Amino acid sequence: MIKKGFDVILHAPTGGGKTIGGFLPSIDDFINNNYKSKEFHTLYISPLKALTTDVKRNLLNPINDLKIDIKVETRTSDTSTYNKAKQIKKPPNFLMTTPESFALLMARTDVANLFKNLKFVIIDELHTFFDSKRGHLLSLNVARLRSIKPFQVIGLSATLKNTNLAKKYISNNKNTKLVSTQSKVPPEITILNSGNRIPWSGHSPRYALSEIYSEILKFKSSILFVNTRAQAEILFESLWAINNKNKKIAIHHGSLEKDLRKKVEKEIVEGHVECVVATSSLDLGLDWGNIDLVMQIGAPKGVARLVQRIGRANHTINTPSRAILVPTNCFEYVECIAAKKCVEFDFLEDEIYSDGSLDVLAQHIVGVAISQRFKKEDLYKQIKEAWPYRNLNIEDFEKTLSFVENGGYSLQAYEEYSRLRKDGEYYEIRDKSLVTKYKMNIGTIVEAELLRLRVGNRYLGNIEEWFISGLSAGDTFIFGGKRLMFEKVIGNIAYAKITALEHQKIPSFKGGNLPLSTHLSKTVRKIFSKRLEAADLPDSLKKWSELQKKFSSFPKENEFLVETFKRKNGKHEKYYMAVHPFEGRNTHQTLGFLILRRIKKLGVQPFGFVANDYSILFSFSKEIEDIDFLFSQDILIEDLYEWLEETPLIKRLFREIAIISGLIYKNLPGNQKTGKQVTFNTDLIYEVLRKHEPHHILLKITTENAKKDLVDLDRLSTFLFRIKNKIKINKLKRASALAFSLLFEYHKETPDKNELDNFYLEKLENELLEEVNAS
Amino acid sequence: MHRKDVIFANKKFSFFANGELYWPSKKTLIISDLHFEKGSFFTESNQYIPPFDTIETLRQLSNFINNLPVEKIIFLGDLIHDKFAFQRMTAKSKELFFKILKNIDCTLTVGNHDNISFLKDIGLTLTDKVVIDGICFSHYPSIDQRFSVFGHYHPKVKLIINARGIWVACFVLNKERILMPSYGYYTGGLSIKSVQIQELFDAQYEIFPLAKEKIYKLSLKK
Repeated sequence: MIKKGFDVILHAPTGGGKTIGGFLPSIDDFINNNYKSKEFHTLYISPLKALTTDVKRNLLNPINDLKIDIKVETRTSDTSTYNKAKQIKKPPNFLMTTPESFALLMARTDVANLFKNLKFVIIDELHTFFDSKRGHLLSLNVARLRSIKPFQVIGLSATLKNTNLAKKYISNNKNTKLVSTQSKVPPEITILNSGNRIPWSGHSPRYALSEIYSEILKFKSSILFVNTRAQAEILFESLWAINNKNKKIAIHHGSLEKDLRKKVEKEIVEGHVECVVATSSLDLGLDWGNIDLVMQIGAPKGVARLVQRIGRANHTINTPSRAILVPTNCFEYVECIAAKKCVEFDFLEDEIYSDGSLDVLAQHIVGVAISQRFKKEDLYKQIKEAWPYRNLNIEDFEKTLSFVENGGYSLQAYEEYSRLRKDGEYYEIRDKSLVTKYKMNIGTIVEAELLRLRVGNRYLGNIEEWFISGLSAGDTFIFGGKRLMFEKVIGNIAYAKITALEHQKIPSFKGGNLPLSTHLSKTVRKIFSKRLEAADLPDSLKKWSELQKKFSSFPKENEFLVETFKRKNGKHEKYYMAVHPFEGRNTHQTLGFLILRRIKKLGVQPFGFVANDYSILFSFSKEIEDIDFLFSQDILIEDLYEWLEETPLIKRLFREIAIISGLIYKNLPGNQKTGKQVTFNTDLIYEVLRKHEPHHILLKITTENAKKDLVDLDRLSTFLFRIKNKIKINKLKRASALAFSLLFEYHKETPDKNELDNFYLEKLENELLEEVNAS
Repeated sequence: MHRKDVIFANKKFSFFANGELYWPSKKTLIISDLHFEKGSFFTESNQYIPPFDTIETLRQLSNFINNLPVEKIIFLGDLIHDKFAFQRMTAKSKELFFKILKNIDCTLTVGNHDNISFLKDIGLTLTDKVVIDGICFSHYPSIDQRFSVFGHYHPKVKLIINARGIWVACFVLNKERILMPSYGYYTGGLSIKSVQIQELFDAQYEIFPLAKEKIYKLSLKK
């Protein structure tokens, strides 16, 4: 198929030799066509820098064995300026790179000459690009390179559901072929059976700690995946506290200093580390043949994600991967049953494909202009060739272009200071100083403002500015498995020292907290409505489910369960309403805010709400009669837009867009020395823009992004439609088992996760249980 | 308009939530560090910040003047961000600003950003300092007067709300000094904990954080 010139997607499980397989046609072409020239023949693009080095190493084995003269090199942000320059003078035949480094190559003025003999572009971990701004950036550059020099694309992925869309993503010519080899051996998944009672709420695996430890001891090497960095820190510390066999346990998460992470990765490969507690930082990438066991601690949240994680174990195709799921509360237990079933029936989520974001387009246009002068019509046509931008309309394109030129303000133009100038029909950059700024600011990943964490004379990693800003000198926290005492912040460095003191705060890093997938949520609902009895449940879960049935009920498959009850809180009576949509935290947060506004409209004073992946719990001052009104679909969507404009979340999103689009530069020449970054308060910019230019393109992008990422508008409206006329209201005397889990969270006021806190939770749990048992 | 009244040098003053200092008995308004056209200044580095900061600042000022009797305004320096600020200013902003200059007695105590040659002959009195009833008003703290009101530092303070730190502008006050917050829309700030500001307020002092149209009061001791 490749020889016929088709683009190809290679869909094979991890361990199936997919990466090397992807290179075979390219190597074959290299040999057969007697490719002699010292030019780029194949570009390999991976979402992970680490993968480029790894793949290069793996590829060099067969190349050296076959004694072929192929020069293979990597080019990422880690490559030295000297080597980068050398690669331009004497290009390697195979270049391993990332979307950002690729974009930088594409911004060169000699791009046409550089790639004139290019034959293949290989995109690894293809599925990571469908719904990300990095994917948008990549698609734009692939489309542009195609217009300069035709080549074949080979996409590689281990998890793909919607192969039709994947085909379209890599090429618009509709002739993409799919090569799919699926593992014959399904993974062996078990849910950890601990004799201890599974908590009703919280996210701590403490109840099963000794069982987790004994599983680790059984295997030579294991990865313990958790969902958040905070969980990683806590689990790591708890395991070491009971590690009397001195198992070599390490920790790995994205906030740790790069060198520390690399060291851990190396030690895993070499077998020096026997167990690693990791977040999604180890989800992708490096092929480690020697992992015997994967444990998923906490809910899997998505089937494809679980499959990917399980795939980390046992990278051979004929033996099953072994995985143990460890739910941390009763809800998660049900979610684990659901996830296990889905994996067994190979029932994966469809990938999400998103339309190309215009902030990325703005960044791309600058890159194009730096590379060569262009005509507006040509550029528009070329951009539409990138699949995520196929529906881009001319108005949005023109607005984006005008934004790139000079901010795109209609009321007051910055015309004389434009970035681009027109020469007849052509657009070109006005002065060369733009090149450095573009190069220093390329990319689509905008992190929260981070401070580097320094302990003694060593850097431990990066920590969110807002977390540090909530600390006072002398506060203790835990990071990278170390107990630290905060000292001070100077510039962008936070200083801390090692301490033995207890009562640490855990940085609850943003991200890592993925919402429950729609797909898994549907299966969870099914299990609750029908199959919970059929499932083989541990005693504590049986009891939980019996209590729920005794005092309330489980929602039927298409039913939406609303429970109301009241509780004495000190002297006051509070009214509660627990709803169980199972739609994931993000949707629940939004819904929570909207319902809160509704409650106010009914003249009832709301106290607040808490939400998790399964339920939302509201509390208010008096009983609500008209519950149906609270959930009526049409009015809620109206409220949504009102709410969106006010939420602080949207300002965070605007900041990201302002940086990606190049409204403000995060890095400017000369600024690194002072450590001074973004100089403008983007919240102020957002406010002033809304007031003076409500139709500005950046505001449009922000709203579009918000609808998708902040509130998942589609999911929310599908939900509201689904529950129409299916609301089941249970008026209860006291909280049901389902509602309890949130009641705990409601009373857990401090974010501290120290011993004291856990004790408090247990105490509360017991009190509540007694209450239920007494009735 | 939310405000806090204070006694300074035995006189009654008011701090207002947007950063205005008002002296009622003299019908005098003092504001500092307006930094006109800071937004458009950054076109120099290809950053096209929305150019509406000057008009926002001026509207805020006009609103104040319309609500309280103001016969004299003292701008405590850094009125403009750079020497070409007036060239970039929109007609609307200019109109608003010159209307204020025409109707009210305005003085600028020149700051480090103010280029005098571009501020001459526009109806603005230019000087280093203004001394009224023994109180010195100037861009930098006074070296020879006991009571000094000044700007320049753009003081800001970190408030911890829900375990998160939020930076807001503030007034800093002790028996002899008032440090003014910056009045300009896009202006950043310097932490009150910084050495430069701490040097100036060595004994007991109070800060007045400005947040969301409100002004608060915190007493701090060293």
